[in-house]
Amino acid sequence: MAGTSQSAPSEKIGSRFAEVLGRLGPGQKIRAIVLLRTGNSLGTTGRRGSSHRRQAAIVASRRASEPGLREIDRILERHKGTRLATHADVLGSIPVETTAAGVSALAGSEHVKAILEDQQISLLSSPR
Amino acid sequence: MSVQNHDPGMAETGTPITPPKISLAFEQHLAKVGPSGKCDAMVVYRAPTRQPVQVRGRLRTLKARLDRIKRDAVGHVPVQSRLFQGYEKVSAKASTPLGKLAFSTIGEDTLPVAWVEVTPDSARQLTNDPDVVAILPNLEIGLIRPRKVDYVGLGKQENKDGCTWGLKELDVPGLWSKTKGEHINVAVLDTGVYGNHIALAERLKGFIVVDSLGNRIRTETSFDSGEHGTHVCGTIAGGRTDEGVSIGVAPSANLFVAGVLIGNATLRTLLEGISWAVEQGADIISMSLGFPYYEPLFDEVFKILTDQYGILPVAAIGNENYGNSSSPGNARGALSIGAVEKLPGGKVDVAFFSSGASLVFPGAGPSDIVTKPDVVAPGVQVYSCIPPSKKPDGTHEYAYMDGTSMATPHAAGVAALLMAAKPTAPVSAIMEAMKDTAKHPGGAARRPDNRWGWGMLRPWEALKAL
Repeated sequence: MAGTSQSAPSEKIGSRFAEVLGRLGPGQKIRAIVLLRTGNSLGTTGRRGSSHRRQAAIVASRRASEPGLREIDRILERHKGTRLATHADVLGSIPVETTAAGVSALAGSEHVKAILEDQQISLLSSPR
Repeated sequence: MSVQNHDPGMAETGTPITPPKISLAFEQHLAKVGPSGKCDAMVVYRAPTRQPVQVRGRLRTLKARLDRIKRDAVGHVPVQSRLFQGYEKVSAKASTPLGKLAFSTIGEDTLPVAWVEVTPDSARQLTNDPDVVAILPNLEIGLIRPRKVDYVGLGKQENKDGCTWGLKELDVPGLWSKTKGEHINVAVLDTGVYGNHIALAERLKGFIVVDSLGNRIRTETSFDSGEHGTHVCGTIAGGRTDEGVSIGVAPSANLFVAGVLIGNATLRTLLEGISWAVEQGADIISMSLGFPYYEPLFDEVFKILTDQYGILPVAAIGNENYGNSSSPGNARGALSIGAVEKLPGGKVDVAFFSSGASLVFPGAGPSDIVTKPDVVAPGVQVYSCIPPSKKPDGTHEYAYMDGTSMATPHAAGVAALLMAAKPTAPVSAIMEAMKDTAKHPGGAARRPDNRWGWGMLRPWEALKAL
């Protein structure tokens, strides 16, 4: 399954996003969302709980994303990319802007779970 | 009875799975007709393949196309003749009191299609012919006309019932003796909310706007850039109208609303909204929105929500009709919601626009297909609150809306009731109870499918199952 620890770099990028990347010119940049592997150190699988437990899970997630962020920065530097947020959010996601080669290099990192295009969102189309 | 031409699988060997030659719907219809009954059908047969025509220019294209059509029609004749000869023998043996089974060509054989009368047995025999591609029911066709909606009648009935038809259909008011969703936080990611609406009094506990750069913008008062978000919030946790009509499924639940569809919005906007909802202590996140294309890896976000934070993501499956689905509602981990409507006579059916599809996820095994939607809920003529809107006939504060966007908050509200009633139930148990206890009109054997999913939500049954 995509996104697990055994994922190949190609499985960390959806097929449609891969097509978009393939059409980019050399040096052309694109905005993407990198999902970092933060694990579930509290072992809270599906358990609902107190706000205290929620806060602990948030802190654990942020802490777990730090090693990944350092590697992201090193990769982005090599590919003239930039991080678009100072820290990862509670989902372990970090927005970046880089080239297709940069996205590919990010997908090769063991800290990266998946990379998504920063595509548009909208209301659903009205029933017709 | 089964007349489906089941392919032996091939999933294990990796070869493509051949679709059945008779659809499940037609199979069901044939079963109703009975062994000696007959009905009209269309047989699509395999046409001889030809080399594509190389042409340039419109006139030459047209001429070549017509010539090609004539040649193809001639090529269809021997295949069709062989099929008819075989079917004549089948027809002679058919045990129908209604006489022999008729068949005929259609037009000048332009299309590789023929008309036949079939019994369940003759249809099965036809599927055994390697040249038969599919057998379709000879369905009646008609104009798609806009249906006149009797809002006055519906409004009167809802006034009389003291709640919207959706709440009544789900038997939600009966559940309120147990819980109204107290202490459950429902996050709504939408166009914002008009939190000063009287129907939402004291329900809105947090509001934020997220821009396309992911900035969180705090405002003194909440607002809605349209009407959609306010309508959705009303269905989740709204109170009563002046006429005493209850509009919200979980009227004591807390609302946390992120305006993520205000101006240009991207995935980054949505993820920032989701992150904010996690930080606010959301138990449920309701999303009636979509992406331009299917992104299977978004499921990773849903996994984090359910596994790491114990949050239930509820998402609309889309309004693009049967055979389609919208992201992120079609992600494996989302509780995906389709829409049902109330028909004259009290029957409830899936709305024509309600999307549904089965998807194979990358990296999954050949048989690991995800069928969407998961469940269906009221999503047509849904009455809920909107920001005040001045019209020639006065100020409107409530409106009817249609869409899976309206079905989704019904499901989010039901989940809030279940979570409030069962505070220790894990999110996976809530989701499973909602699916397992849903009612499919075709019975348990027919679910899940791409219309009803696992069926229509039954909150009482779900509560009993938890």
